Amino acid sequence: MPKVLMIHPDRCTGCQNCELACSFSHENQFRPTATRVHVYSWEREGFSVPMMCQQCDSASCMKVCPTGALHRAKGTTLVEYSREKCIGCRMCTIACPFGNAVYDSVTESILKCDTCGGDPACVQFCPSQALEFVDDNISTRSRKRELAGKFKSAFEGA
Amino acid sequence: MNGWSGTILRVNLTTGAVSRQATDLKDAALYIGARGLGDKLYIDEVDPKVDPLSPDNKIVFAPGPFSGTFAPSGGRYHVVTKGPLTDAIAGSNSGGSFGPELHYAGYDALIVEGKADEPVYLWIKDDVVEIRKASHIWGKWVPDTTDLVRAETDLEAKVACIGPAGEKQVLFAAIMNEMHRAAGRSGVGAVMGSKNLKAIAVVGTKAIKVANPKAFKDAVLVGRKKIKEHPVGGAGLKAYGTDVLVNILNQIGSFPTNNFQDGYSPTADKVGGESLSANQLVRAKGCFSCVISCGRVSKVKEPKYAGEGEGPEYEAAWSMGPDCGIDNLDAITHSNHLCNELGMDPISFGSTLACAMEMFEAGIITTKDTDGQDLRFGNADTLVELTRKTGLREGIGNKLALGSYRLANSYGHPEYSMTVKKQEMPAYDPRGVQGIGLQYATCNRGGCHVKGYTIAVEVLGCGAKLDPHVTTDKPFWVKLFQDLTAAIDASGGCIFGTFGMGGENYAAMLSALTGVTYTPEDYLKAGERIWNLERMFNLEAGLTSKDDVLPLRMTKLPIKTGPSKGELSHVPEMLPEYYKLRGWDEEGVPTKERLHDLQLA
Amino acid sequence: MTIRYFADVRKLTGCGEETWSKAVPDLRSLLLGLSVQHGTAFERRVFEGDQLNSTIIIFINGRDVAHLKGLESPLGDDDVVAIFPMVAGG
Repeated sequence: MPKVLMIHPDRCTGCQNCELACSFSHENQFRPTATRVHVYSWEREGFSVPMMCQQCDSASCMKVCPTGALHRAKGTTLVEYSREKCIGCRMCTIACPFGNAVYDSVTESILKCDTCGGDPACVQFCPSQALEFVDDNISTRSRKRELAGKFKSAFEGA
Repeated sequence: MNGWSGTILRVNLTTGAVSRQATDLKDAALYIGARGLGDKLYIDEVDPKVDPLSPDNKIVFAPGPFSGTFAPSGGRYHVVTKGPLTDAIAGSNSGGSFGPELHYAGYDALIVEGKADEPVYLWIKDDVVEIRKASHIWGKWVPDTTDLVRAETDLEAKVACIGPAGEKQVLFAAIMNEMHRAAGRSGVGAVMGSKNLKAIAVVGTKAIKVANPKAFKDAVLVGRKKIKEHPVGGAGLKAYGTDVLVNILNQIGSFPTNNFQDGYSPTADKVGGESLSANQLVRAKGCFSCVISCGRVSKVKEPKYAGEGEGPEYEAAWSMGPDCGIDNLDAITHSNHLCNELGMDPISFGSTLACAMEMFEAGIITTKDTDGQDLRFGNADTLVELTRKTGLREGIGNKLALGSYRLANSYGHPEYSMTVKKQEMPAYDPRGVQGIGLQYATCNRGGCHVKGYTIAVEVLGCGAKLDPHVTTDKPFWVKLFQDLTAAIDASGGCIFGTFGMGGENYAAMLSALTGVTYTPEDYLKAGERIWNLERMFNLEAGLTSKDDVLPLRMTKLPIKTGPSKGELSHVPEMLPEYYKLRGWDEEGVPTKERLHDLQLA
Repeated sequence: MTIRYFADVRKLTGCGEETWSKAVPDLRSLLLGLSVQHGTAFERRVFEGDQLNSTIIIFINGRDVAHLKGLESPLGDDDVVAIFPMVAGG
């Protein structure tokens, strides 16, 4: 069963531990521009959202990549990045509708979430379970269940 | 270089000069960073007799080596200057993400000196530093200031700024960052205002290197686990925030009410963390790299006090609540939002208002002084109105802006001011909790709980269970907490990390990060060194052991009602033992032997 | 006797305060009686084996029972007992 990185923005406290874990796990140092996950915060409302590559089924980045540096192995969910094939054209950064692929001038490569080889560091370091690495269908179900619960409350109250 | 960045940035607002110097690595090792290194830089350069609001004063902004790493709850920074409220060393600590960003920009400290001719803000992007005009932003409140500065610099910039309170030099004005976090006490915001410095915006992209990545990660994971397993660090603070302390302090009868006239409130529950969670809390919030999430995103729906923001913390809920005889949490939360937006310390504000209220009820301040405003205890509308007026220095607010000591003194009645070294005491009655009273009396920055939080052992039973009513061994514990806190402050750590971690965890992380070996003893000693450095500055500024005292009320007027009825503070009996443990003489002056041992002389 | 509950202990009892009219000699007896009334979740929260749970703080008339006689602290009709989880600092 393939796994996905599930985001729960309502649990996010804006602490950016995910960003720190990401940059550290890739480079053994804390470089803010090395993180593949970014947390956006709105101070007035007190709301934060972590954003990273969604590993789209129909990935725009893969479609525009002229060399196949961005590719997916059959039967897997991960959109992989092969640095050696990359020519640094940055077409993927334009194509991604979420802005989740970025070009890093320090390493001269594209940064996008690689799920840390199947054990995401961000998930390990998030203190609030705002990021989870879960089987594809369970995560979908849990959100449905939460919303279904609202119907239950509405009908119980009537 | 590991941990530290190796560079100190200096901006002279008088000349417009921007310069850099290398961080002295020997000093970095001895003083660690943030509070410690900030103290060292400041104290080496500034005359202790300087007028805090003059261009000759300096102000240092310093992250710690942890700030910007995933050391748990390790993303803080410290502001060091001389406090206009206290005329003593001022060190205010703040969370949010400003400190880490300054560290990412490549700086161990930013020293600001002089005074700009007109309002300016600093824009720091790694090595590029600009002093930009801010006249069009002067007068704006903190949220608008933050948005305007970001619009002109970078939408992701971290912004530390002052609101109207700092601009108008309210003596307890704060420096706010990320809109709701504060370097709150002693009037550091007024110092920024006196320099015409409206804001500092930072974007940093450089790496913080780690000497021993595996050891650092391992030490961090151990620390995180300890915090998670601790009831306070792991769950309590996230669920209820610090405000849950209201009921605890009230139930032991050491919850000061009506300007410290009593120690118990029958309606305290209405302003406690349980009520806050049920009525105003939206969600928990965490500072940079925090694993605890004690922050409160809050919203008031009651139309009269409607608004959103963060808080109140325990201290604010107390000072603008039962200390003023008020138990309306909507009004208190709204006033807390206003304090953040105006940029001022709610502890000093609330306690100053309480002082004014007591003097009003005693007929010393009259409606003539207050433009007809009723300043009796319990008036929530007065609270909200005067929060605004004090931040803007309007009407009677102009006098409240001086703090309770100068306010009460101006009427010839300084005894109504509940301050130590002219800074308002926080929310723990020193008559009912002996150790925290000694902390208030001896803290280098005046009436303060957080730099020596013995409540953890005297009330909360974290690690040890001490009887709050007794004085036995309290000098030992106060010194221990003061020293450890100074080292943690200097590292860039949040002291709530001690709900789980101990000195050995901090020392292990710091060693692995910097490559400099710190044993737990070295770590604690660095804290003691920092404490003594601050003490020496204060003595040269003119403070003496006569200033290590609580207000007369604390030793003369027993608590009237509740479980600590009849108790008084016994600070004078504890002071000699405290001085002795510190290696100071009978006048509280550090001996040459102790200074030499600490490498301070 | 007045019993007051705070923070998440309130969730286990469904109230912030109640009156206890049965005479009990000491704190242990009181807590056992309250456990019968409020259930096993409450019992597990306040006890750790036969000791007081290390994450619970109990005041009798404002005094931490750790400085009295712990679970053997005597109780009288007019006493106020406050039960807190260890929750916070600040």
